[in-house]
Amino acid sequence: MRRLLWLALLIPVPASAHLVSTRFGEFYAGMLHPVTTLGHLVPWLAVGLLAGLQHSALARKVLLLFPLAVLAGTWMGSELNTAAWVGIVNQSSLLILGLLVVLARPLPPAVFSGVVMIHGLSHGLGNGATDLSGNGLLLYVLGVTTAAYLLVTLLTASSHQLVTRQSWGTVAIRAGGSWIAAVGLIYLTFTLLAAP
Amino acid sequence: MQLGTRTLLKVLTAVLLLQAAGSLWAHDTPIALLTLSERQQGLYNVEWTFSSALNLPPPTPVFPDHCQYDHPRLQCGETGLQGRLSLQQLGERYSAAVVQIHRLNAKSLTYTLTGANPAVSITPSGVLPWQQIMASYVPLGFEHIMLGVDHLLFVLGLMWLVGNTWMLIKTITAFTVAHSITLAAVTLGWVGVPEQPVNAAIALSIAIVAVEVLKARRGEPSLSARMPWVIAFGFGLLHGFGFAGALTDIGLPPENLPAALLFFNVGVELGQIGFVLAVLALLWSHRALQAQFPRWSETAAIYAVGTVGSFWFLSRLDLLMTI
Amino acid sequence: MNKPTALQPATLLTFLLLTLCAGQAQAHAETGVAGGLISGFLHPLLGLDHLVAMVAVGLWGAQLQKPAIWLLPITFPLLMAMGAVLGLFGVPVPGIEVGIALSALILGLMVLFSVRPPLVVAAVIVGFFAIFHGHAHGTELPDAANPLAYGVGFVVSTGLLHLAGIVLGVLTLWPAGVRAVKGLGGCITALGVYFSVASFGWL
Repeated sequence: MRRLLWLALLIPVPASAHLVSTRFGEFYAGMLHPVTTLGHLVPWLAVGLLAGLQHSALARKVLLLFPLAVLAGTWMGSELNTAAWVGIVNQSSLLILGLLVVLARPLPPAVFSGVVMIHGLSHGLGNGATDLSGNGLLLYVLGVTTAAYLLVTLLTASSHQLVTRQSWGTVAIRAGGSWIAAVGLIYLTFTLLAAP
Repeated sequence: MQLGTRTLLKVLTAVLLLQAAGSLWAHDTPIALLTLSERQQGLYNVEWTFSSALNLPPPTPVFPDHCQYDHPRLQCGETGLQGRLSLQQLGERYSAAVVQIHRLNAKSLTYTLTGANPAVSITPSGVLPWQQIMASYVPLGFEHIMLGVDHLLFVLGLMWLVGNTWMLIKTITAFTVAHSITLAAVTLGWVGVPEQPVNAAIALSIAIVAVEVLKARRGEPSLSARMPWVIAFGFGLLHGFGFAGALTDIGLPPENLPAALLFFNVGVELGQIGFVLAVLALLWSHRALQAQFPRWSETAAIYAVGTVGSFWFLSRLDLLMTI
Repeated sequence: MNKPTALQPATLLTFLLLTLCAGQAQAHAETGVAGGLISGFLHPLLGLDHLVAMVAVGLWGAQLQKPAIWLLPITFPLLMAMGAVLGLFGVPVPGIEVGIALSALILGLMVLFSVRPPLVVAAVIVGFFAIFHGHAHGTELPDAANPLAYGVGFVVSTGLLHLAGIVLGVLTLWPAGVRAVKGLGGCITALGVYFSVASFGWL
């Protein structure tokens, strides 16, 4: 028992000595969650590919819109009970975004922004963590948002460069879209069948 | 597109970060401690000490084949306790467990096992194979720099200060060499530095770099703008003391000191290179999409970094005064 | 280091590790991602009949040149997914093994003789066989540790096999390469004959 007390006593000591490291783990937990969960990672990659196929002025918007929507979604997801539509949107997002990439049509700005924001919001809600509060939650939400920003920025820029610089760029991205759509169709069917 | 909102977001993030950095609170995580105390030659008493909010049972220890385990007695006979010890279900029930071995006629051994590295091979001398040390200490170093936002902010400040790739390579190398020197010097016991003033000074270094960046952008002549590796080297020595503090806190088996030191440093460098590459990739992405930040927003971000550094400096100074 | 509290360093380490690990446990993470990815990725590679048929799709696309070089590999995953959906619904597709074996045979022949049908016909041929391949993968899906990871694994591995075929098909830019690609088609045809005979139970 004395050892247990020791353990308990010792914890605050390192915590105050190294202020920053204390609970920063939640930030990385937030960052890793969407990156290690294929149900989030694959559609986020699709958002980047889709943005890369748009005109640069529109593509640029995703850098701001998507992380903000994810931020709002993750925050709300931790406060609210996740609504039923979130699951449906998230599960069908691979198919929908994949098909949009396959079509490779420049979308009207309003439609593109809408698609990006709905998916950001729903995937943010899907990432919400209900058992965190206070600063832990704040760090977690910031972590998820950072992951969204990093993934979407890197993917959008790379695919946009590919489309504008290489003659085969667009088709390569479309092929990638067809892979995502194929996975999405199988995944959606499987989850719908598995649901009671 | 107007990027004003993003700047606002950045400032907001900085403020939130600041708030998060300043607060502390108790933490309810399961910790497991396995104590093996030698009663007679080769006969050990096994004791678990754990606290878990979920009342999880401790992991199941698997002792070397020649040992007979009948809780709480562990009979290892003539050979003594050596060989492979592993903890099953470690990753599922507890993230990490500490194993302490108190021996009758030899010094005590302490091992830390994790979900990723749940086994240890016990030798009479306590010397671990280098693969085992690598598996434990590279992730620890990586984790330390990733959690040490103060180090990362300083590196970010350095990246702001330098103009081109060649200069960046020189500066980051200078920082690496410098912190490796002090890290080694402290760990090997050549110099001793109290941890808390070092942490305060590290925080101050962030603020100083931010000021240097601002000066350089105004075109004021300064040494740091012409030769950023000088500032990188000087403060690198300081950051090395910080790493050393963390490393000695983690626990360094004296038998395995050089290897542990080396692999911890490798982990730190990997984390640092990863961070620099991530920042460079983001800068490239923004250029490729012509999503450039307006100049004033960059200034605001530098101020934010400086503010965070100063805030940490003051709070660490305060900590220093009260203890 | 010579402090009497030998526990302290170890405790600190534990604490550091826990701060990182504790957060990951709480957010309903997917399980079996790595296992699912690997088993899905290996499935098309371990069946030689799958493997050669996929490479043949890429080779044929390269022979047909634009736009088929890309249209076929875009069509294939989508129709393969349709096949997998049929497999998930438990809709029986007759003669799966025969269909896969025949796909190697026929696609091999197309490459061997460098057949140039209209694009739509080529797409229909490839799409038809894609359904068989997808069905075979799809029926394995519900047993996978993580069905989504399994799906990602097998789609990516199929796509990479197409890509391998396309890259090999770049050889057709040189006259000698044209013959080399046809030779590959011949090998695939030969394997296809073997698989077909085996699938009819004649071996």
